[in-house]
Amino acid sequence: MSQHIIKMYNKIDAQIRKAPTDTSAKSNGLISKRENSDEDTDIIHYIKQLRKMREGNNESK
Amino acid sequence: MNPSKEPTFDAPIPGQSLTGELGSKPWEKPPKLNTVNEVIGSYMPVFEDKDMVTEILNQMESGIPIIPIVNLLIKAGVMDGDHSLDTGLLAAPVLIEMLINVAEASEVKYKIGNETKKNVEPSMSAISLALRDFDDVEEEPTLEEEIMEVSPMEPPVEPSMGLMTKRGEEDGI
Repeated sequence: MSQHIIKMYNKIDAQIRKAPTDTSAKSNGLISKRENSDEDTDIIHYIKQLRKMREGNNESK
Repeated sequence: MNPSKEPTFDAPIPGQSLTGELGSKPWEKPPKLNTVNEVIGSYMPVFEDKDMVTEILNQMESGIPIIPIVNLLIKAGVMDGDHSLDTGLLAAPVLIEMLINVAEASEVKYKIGNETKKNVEPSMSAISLALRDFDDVEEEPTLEEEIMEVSPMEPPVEPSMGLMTKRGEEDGI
């Protein structure tokens, strides 16, 4: 279980550290490309906010 | 016989968990919380409880990484039937970040638990153990050495051309 958590954390950490790319779903076909799930984006959003908070706290010290 | 090593017969027998009524345990029922947001929200009171936070910080100070702590929290949630293992796993990174924030705010040294070990140097005890083994190998005579001591063999005769010349002489070549 811990291994799964480590994998999950490292994956999301890498995703956040990665340079922002064009994530818009473009498609010429009938079926549009699958976008990231809402849950993934929620988690990334939460983590970004928590890291911002931490940086803010560290700067104020 | 050591009393601690005595077999205990009051433990559940293998398969006993399958004999209960299906749905009688909290984790066998549908989870109360179904989305990741709900699961994350359910863990927020943990970080507001001073006693709980103090206990977690004590564990971090004693060297326990954050990931096993989060693992325990999630498993407890699953056992209580609050959420499924999947949603708990998805919420884990957020809980890790929360605990990092708490540790940094309290100026407690922490380990996340995902650090990869690079260039791990052997400890002094491991080095001394290896050296002791090495000394033991040097001191003990090998089987060949023992045989040599018991029956010293004659020095090996270098092959010479003497036999050939003798034969040659006999043949009149």
